[in-house]
Amino acid sequence: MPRTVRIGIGGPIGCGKTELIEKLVPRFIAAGFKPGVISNDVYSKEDARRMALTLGKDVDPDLIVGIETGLCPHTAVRDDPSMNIDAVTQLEKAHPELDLIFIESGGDNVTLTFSPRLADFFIYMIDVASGDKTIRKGGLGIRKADLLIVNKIDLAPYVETTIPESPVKTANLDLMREDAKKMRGDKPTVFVSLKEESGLDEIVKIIREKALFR
Amino acid sequence: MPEKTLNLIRISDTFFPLGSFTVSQGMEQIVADNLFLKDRTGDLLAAYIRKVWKPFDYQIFCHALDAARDDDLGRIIELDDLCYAAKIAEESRTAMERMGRNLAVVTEFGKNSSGDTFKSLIGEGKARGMYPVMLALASHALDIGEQGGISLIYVNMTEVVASLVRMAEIDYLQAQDVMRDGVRGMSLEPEKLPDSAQSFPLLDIAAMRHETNSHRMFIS
Repeated sequence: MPRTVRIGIGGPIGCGKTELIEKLVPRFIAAGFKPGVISNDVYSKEDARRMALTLGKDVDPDLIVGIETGLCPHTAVRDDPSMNIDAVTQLEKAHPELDLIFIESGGDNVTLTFSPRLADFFIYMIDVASGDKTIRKGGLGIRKADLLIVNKIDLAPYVETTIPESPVKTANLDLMREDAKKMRGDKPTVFVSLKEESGLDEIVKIIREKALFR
Repeated sequence: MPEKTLNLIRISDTFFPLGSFTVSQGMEQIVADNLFLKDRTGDLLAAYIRKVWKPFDYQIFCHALDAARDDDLGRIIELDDLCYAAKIAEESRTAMERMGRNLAVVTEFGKNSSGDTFKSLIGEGKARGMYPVMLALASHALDIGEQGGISLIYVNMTEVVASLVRMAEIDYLQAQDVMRDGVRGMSLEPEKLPDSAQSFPLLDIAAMRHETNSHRMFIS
């Protein structure tokens, strides 16, 4: 059975992981791909329920699977991803026509990584409003992700910087870019506003080039 | 199943509150320095067993077990100090000390036994409570005896392998392959050596470099 390309998406609670999937899925469908979604939640299947509603016109509800993981989100996608691998396998078996599956982790911290057996491509996501110092703190998610996405750049003028050396008082996107370069070298970092739908084309391009190879 | 077998499983389980999930035994720095080779994980584990855990930590355990059986508090303190002094990197010493203290907290010793007195000394800050020594005292108290040495090596193995999984250097199934092979190659017979020694300079250097690393997930 052919293996679908699996895109793992992790990041803190409220950074925009679910919204990212909601914005990416229609774009991949428009580009001729068939995506599925697995959404991990700790206590509920709320994100999957939400996506079934928001993506309902584009995606068969069977292609959106919710998993209640309980406990630590990173355990379910890294230390013991058997529950997720089972869900992915079932989805692939039932829908061999799928080109890619987005696997959304439950909201977590900067130590999150995906098991290489579960995800082929790992996206880590943060947002400007939670503090512009986040990238310089490092962490496995920020350093190791194949793609780092910084969301909510539209909020930068409205939040205070958390970097003492910053010459400006509001969230400093320039310093965040410098920090990303220091922490990640040549690996890509994309600054986006999902609300304003900016930066999404670049994300699609990177996923196509580096994960789907087409 | 006999109680002592269950106790052996219990103290070796990652659920047992030793704080071992915070320890990578130098792996985090080895990975950061791009020295980790995924295909050689088993060899790395074998080197740990051969160069550190068996010739030193396990020897300390065996001698401490003898001392516990003889109710020889002086010898226990001496071994505790020796174990502390032999760990070159500060973070290795600290991690091992913390694990030993955690073990002391959840172990009940017979009243006025050397284990009980030693636990009090730890509480008073007069003894360190290094993990191999504390494990020997706990093994004696739980009637596990030499079998506690299996726990010593197993817990050390899981620390290294689990840290590699958490850093996504190996996946959870590769981890089980490595653990299975490690267990298979691990002699379970108590093997007391005339001398105790450890030599794994690469890891000592990694541990010392790790101490100065400002971005880290593990305490060692």
